Amino acid sequence: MSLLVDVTAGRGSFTLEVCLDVPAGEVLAVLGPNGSGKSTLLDVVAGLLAPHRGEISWKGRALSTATGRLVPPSERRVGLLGQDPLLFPHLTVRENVAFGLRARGKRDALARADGWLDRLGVASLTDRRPRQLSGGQAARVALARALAAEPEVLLLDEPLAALDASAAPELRHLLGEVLRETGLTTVLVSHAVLDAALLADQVAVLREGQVVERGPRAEVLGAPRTAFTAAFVGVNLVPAGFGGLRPAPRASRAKVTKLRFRPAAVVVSEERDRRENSWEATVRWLEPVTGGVRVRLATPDHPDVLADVDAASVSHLSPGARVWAHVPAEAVQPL
Amino acid sequence: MAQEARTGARLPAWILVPAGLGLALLVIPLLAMLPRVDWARLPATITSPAALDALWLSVRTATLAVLLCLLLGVPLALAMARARPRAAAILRALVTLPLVLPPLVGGVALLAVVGRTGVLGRWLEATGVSIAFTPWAVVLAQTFVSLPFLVITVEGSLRTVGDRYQVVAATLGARPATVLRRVSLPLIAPSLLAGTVLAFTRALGEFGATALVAGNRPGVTQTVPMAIYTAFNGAGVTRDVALVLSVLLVATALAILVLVPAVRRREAW
Repeated sequence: MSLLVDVTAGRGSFTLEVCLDVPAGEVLAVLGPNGSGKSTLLDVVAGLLAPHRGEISWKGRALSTATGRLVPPSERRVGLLGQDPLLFPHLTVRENVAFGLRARGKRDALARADGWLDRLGVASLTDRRPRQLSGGQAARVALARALAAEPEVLLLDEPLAALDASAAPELRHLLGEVLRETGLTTVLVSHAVLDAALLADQVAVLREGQVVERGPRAEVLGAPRTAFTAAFVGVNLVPAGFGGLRPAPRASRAKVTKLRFRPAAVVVSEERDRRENSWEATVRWLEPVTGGVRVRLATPDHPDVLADVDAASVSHLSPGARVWAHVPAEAVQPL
Repeated sequence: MAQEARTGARLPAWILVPAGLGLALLVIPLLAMLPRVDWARLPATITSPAALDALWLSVRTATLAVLLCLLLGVPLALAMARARPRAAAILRALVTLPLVLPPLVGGVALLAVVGRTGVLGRWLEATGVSIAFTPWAVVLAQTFVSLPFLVITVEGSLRTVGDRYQVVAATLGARPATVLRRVSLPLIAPSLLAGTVLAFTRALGEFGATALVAGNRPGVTQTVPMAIYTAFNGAGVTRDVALVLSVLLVATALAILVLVPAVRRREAW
């Protein structure tokens, strides 16, 4: 009883090749950088793009078959909410939310629309036009509209990406609440790790059209198996023995193969650091992170290590500079 | 809000001379008609049987032509907006052709179809039906010249709107017919109105194609433009009537040009 997606699809020279299943009632977050095929995946499930081959089914009901039979989007009961709310500009907020119910000929569409608006905290906006709404309000109305259409599967395409920093956290919280209450089977596509951390049960990581990692949220985000995922979710993952690092002691006697530590635990200094757990590295580049600067450090023959440093201390960290990095043993987790 | 031009962006002063001349060329002839109208006898002139016949025929035929334009033009525009770029370019060229052709050539072409020896006319003649030189020919000529205005306006608007709203509507469970009725058409309503009005104005003023395919029989195929032309050739209605009818056409066109943008602005989302 789940959503099964086993397809090859693509646009132009880009090819997406995935095999995913989402158990009914669960939220799968699909993470990946821009161009990894996240939106293509959603388009195929929604029926907006025909797959080259493969099958899609929901609770045993075929949505797209190997023989090329496609259920049209309007008959799939698969809702899609993107980062642009796309509220119909010629309809009021209430009429927008009632749209899906009316399209299916429900008589009490308007009353039910009001119910959804109330539930999402925007009951006061019912008679407004979309252009009179703020970004956060429009996003809530769009969510109400998607839910009011009574989808059986909900596809979310970066629903928070276009919101400003004050509206996004609120809506993320609301989205989590609604998904839990309704128990909707959901595929959430995002390049923000936070969305996955707060909303998802399962996480899949997509890279160039392929799933490179897949598993329960805690596993994928907490102990990524691939360097790509680690870099993407923002943790350092290095092979045991890297830089002479010694991890914190652990109870189990299992062989340690990888070490994990957070970028914030890394200390970067210009002078030779004689403490244990220090190694020499080259600055590759700097990039902004909330509240500071992230430095990417290159070590020959090893994956890059990320270090978060204070914005006031970056003057000497130009690309190519030789520096010393240090991580306290208690911050290094053996895996 | 008035916009002040920054000093560096000023036009050279001499530009105003040809600009003013251009404007005068467009406006003065229209104004020059006014003193020649006998305003005291205007009510009597305009209600003369010849003028009323022409007006009534023009209104009826232009209305029918616009209905035909909507019935055929909107689906054509919808199909064009969905066509692949190459096909759309070819279709657009075909649709624009009557717009840039001399209307007389359109008349010749229409005669080749519905004339007594035309490809369709020959066959119709056999069944006892004739279109050429009847009010239907007037409607046909008007539709031929007005349709491009409606199709081009509506197709442009459809392309601007894109298909994103339609896609959302489909994922909300709306079938194609519902999407068309409740999303696509309402979204382009302002342009649909503009296109309709443009087509109506063009149909009212149509002369060249009508003259060839419908002729100039008072009360049957003599529309307002035909009546004006006849008057200046010294037959049928008098020059007084011709002047009044001309002023009437100018006033109608002006009213439409002023009102439509106002309505569109009010409806702009």
